[in-house]
Amino acid sequence: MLTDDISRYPEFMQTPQGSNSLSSSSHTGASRRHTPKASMGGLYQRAIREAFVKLNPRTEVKNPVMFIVWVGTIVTFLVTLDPNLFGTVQADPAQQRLLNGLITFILFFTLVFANFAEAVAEGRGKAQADALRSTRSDTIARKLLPNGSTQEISSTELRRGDQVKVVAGDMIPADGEVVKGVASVDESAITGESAPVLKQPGTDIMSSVTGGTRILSDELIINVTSDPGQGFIDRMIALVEGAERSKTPNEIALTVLLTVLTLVFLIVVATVSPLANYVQAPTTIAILISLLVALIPTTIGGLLSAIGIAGMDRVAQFNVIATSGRAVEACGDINTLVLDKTGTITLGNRLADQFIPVNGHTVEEVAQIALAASVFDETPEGKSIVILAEKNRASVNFKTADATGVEFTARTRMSGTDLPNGKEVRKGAVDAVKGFVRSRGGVVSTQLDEAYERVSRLGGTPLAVCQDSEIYGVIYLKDIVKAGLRERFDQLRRMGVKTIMLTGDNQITASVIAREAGVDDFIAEATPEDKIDVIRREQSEGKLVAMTGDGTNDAPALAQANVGVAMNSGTQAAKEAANMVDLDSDPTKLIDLVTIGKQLLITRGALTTFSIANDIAKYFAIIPTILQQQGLVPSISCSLKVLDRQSFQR
Amino acid sequence: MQLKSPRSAIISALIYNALIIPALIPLALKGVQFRPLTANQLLRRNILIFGLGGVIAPFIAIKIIDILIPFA
Amino acid sequence: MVLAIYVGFIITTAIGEYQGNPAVNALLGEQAPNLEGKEVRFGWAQSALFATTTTGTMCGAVNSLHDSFMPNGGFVTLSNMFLQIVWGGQGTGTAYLFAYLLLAVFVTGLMVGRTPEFLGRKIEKREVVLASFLILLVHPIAILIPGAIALAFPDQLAGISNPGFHGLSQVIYEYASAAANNGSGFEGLGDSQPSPLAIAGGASSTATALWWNLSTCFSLLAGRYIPITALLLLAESMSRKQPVPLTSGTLRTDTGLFTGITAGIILVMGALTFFPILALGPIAEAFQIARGLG
Repeated sequence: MLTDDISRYPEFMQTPQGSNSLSSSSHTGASRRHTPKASMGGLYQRAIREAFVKLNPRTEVKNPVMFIVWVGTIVTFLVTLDPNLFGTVQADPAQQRLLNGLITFILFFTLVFANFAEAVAEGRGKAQADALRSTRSDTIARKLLPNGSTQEISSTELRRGDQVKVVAGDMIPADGEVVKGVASVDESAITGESAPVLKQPGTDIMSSVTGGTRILSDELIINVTSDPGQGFIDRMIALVEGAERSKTPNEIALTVLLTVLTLVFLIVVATVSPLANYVQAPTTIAILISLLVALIPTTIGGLLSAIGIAGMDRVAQFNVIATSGRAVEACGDINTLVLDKTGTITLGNRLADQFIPVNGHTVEEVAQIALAASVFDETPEGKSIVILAEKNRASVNFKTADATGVEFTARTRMSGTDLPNGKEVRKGAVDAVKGFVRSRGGVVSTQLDEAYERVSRLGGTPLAVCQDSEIYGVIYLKDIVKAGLRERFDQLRRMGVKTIMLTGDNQITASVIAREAGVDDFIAEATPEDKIDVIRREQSEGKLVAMTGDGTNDAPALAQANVGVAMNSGTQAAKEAANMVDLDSDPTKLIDLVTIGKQLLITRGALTTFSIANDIAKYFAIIPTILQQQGLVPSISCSLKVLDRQSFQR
Repeated sequence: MQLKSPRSAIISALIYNALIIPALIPLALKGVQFRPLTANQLLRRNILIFGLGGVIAPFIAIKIIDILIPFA
Repeated sequence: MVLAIYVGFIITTAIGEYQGNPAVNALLGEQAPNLEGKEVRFGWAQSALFATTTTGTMCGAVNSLHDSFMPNGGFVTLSNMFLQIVWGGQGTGTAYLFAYLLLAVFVTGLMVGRTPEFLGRKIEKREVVLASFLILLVHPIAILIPGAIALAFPDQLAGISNPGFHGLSQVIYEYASAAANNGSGFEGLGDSQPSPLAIAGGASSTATALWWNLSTCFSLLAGRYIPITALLLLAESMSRKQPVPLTSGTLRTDTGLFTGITAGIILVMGALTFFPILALGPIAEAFQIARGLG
């Protein structure tokens, strides 16, 4: 069964059950928009029907190996009707007819089974596509009319260029760009990131919103950027349904080899006939066809297309849209992964690691204030501050019911608490807190700047803590490397895949994180141009490079990379340039894609090897029978016994 | 291979040939189990399973089918 | 690996010759090596070595009549020329071995989870077409098709001196020798052009001689020039590719394991192609002799 389990555990592709575990996100089990459960009901009945429909010679001729079997079936059917059609047979006609009929029957089922394999794979693809289709849910959208008023319509009626207004609590009806307003948006449905994201016009990632996410505060005017039915999901549906499937280069090469092998055996079997006649061991046409079918690589010939379709399907189950099968295959060949630090290697949200007191305060005092400022903060960062403060023996010394929480807003960049005794505690970006303190008549010491720099050097984010006009200290928010990544990078290294981390951080911070995550190489203070440079450099050495990206400035690099995976939360330009789009916007998936690509190739190679290796046994089963038929050689083993006896007699 | 008769040998080989396709459908759809090993370890493992297995399995399977089918 | 096949072939031939012909032995009442058609100076052992080597290396010189070898010898000399890789003559053996390696890499290389590459270069459709065409298709066409035609009309065309399984070996050997650039003869065929005097004297073997000369010409040309052209094209297309760097994810082709795999591919793709012929020729003959029918 195809269960798209939403529970994730950081293990390396547990394939057999198909419960595709993704890695390592902080996210635990909340509902995600794109976790469609494909319905498999009636799949097999439909596949069986398809298997017979595919017997149409115009379909069969596309697969040279199976076409030979198809022709063979027709011929054996004819000799079943008239055993003497191609020359007289000495054997009893009734017996011969029975044998020929039996061979025809088996050959026919060989064809049906091969078609069935393809039909099942296609059926699963279709079911996946249907599930994807169902994700596009209807929501009510407030369309902005030219006169400034709004009109409530269904989200499916929205067109590209329409403007919609969303207010706190609304579901964003379609993908689009923010044109007006500043608001925080909960994108956990698609990113797995529970911290709200700030959206405002004018910037790349910040201005792009995705349908299905929820706006938490304020209001936004959004310009819709895609028509319904024109999105990437629709493209993917066409692909997994098999309608647009074209053979990948490797599949073509393998088909050539299989065709040549088929031709070789065709010549062999065709020439066996006069040869056997010459040595007075004539064979019947049905037996020659049996020999031919047994020798040509029918196993892989019948399963080849099913393997390809299944590969695409597996990518789809991972909620990744591939624009071609070629891209999936290229994943297996990747030599270098170029990964962004934030969101890929480290968690998007950082955790409090240390309190750094300033202005002569103690750590306990900072902890106390930080705790007071964080009691109403429900974000992971806020919770981590509470935990760290309690570790530092801080406790809440006021009635929380009497206090008021001050929420974080995009403008203030601070949050905190108004205590029952009238005091105001705040924590937030250092600049914002400085401004708050100054507005309360306080002064800012140079100690604060020193602490700020120290934290930055460690690769962390500093948060200042204050009570009214007094700054107590700085909270060091540390970047957390995703769990289990180190092992995965080790595994990748063993597979011969190199990882390069790109980060805007300074050299020191980058090296700390790089060492912690176990990446092979890193580039600090990276600009978007560096990204494309590193890809070009690797490619000039003949390597294949994969990367993820979401911003418009990533687009050239995404296009340059052999496998470019754009995040669904990213901009339209990034999605256009990439050859895959990740609906969950989880950049770590790149690693899973490499294994899917490899798995596809391994499956193809393994079944080819198996199919060819089978020939040896089939030879030994059938060849002696051609000799035995006329009683010239009773059987190999029998002859060997004779041989033994004779040498014994000597 | 000491099969019962030439006819039985041919039928057995063909039945094997036909049945191996549906038998391998699950493998083709799910993919071979992937382990993050070096190329040589992977090759050794897969050759052992699919190469050697591919040589041996049909001998056994054809022999069994030969025993099972009812006529001589 | 090639050495192993070579040694195995020599031993097979030598055993056959050493044990001698059971029918003859029965008459003599003792076991004696088969010396028919051999120079007594060389004896059975050296003749076996020479026969294996000359067919393996596409040398073509003979120091004994292969026609008179026991079936083991026929099997080995034929196999040598079918595979064309046991040492191989003047460079072509290496070339054929490379083509087999390429196919081995292509089939098994997928199993390491990468599209196959050989000597750091990707193997794509063009390479597979050339390599498979080269070694898999041309050789059977050059040997089996004329062989089958000749045997379909044995009286008119073939002029075989020993009918039966052995005759089949004679005919196939002739074409294998031509296609594999060997030039040695199994002999025993009416394939020589009679002298004008003989024709004047009423000899009638012209028809078979003409057939043999023309058909082996075809085998010779096809067996020699098509593979050489294909190999040159293959080398040309490989040389133009950008090399792929070696990583731990790359299939290594210099290990014992891979050598074994190549041997397996040669066995399946090369040897099994000709197995029915060998079965009907030397192998059937061997059983025939063993059962005392020969």
